[in-house]
Amino acid sequence: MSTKSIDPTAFQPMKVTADKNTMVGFEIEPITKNLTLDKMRLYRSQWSRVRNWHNDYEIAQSWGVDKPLVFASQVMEYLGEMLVKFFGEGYLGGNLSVSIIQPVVPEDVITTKRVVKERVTEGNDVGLVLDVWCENQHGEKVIVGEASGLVN
Amino acid sequence: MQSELRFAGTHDLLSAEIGHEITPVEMVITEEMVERHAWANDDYNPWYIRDSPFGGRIAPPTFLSYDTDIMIWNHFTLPEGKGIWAKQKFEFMRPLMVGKKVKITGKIVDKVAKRGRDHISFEFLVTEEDGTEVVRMLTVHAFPLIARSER
Repeated sequence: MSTKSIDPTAFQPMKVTADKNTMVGFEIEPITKNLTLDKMRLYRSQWSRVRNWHNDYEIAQSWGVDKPLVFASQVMEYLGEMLVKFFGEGYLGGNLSVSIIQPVVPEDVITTKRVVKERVTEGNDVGLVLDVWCENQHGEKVIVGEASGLVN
Repeated sequence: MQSELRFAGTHDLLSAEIGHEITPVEMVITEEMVERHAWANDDYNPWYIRDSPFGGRIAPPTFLSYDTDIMIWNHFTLPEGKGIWAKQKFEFMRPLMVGKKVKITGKIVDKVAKRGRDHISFEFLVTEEDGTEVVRMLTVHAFPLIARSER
């Protein structure tokens, strides 16, 4: 057996990225994340060093929820990752707009989904508008919205 | 970890008016912050870890949404009944460069009651030291956590 292990921290680019031929209906490669309490505690700095309902079961339960709730911004970051991987430098000039519709908790498996819903052409510039959302392991949407970027 | 919640804000949020400005923050995004982010989110883009086409390491585009949340709660007291982060918008204009100082300013831009909650919208602008706009954000928080209509 000569199979080599893959470094789990190696960058995984998308197989297909945005270009001027990307058509409406194109489904962008999903990204899946396994959210753990450790990841939630690692996320950013000063706040995660203080016990709060984003990182502590006791405090979350004192606030009336069973498990700590993942920082909404942490889940949004997954869509940001997708934007950069798909558009490359073309994420500049674009936007992301989302609604948080369901809480995310430790041990959830979150998958980003995106489909191209519109092409906008201005002169030589092409912009793509995307429907974006994140689903949990039950297939339930937790974040929904829209994003856009430019094609270079 | 410290054993208590620390919300340093002193202004009453629910009585604050549209236009109320949040205490601005100046910060430098450090290599350590970006690497910590990569580990937390399993996002090992070389643009964040090594170099980018923008002339140095950058931070992810959505990176500062966390900091704006901290800004809100370092300025306002958390209302009774707590709340939820309902919506977020970003407009990406320039890359967030690692090692470069940025300033984040914010204010309340809308307040509306709907579906048993008070929805408060905050607008944030991230600028470089020379005033160049980097990212615009709009955050909507809804209070209380359990909608009044569901109690």
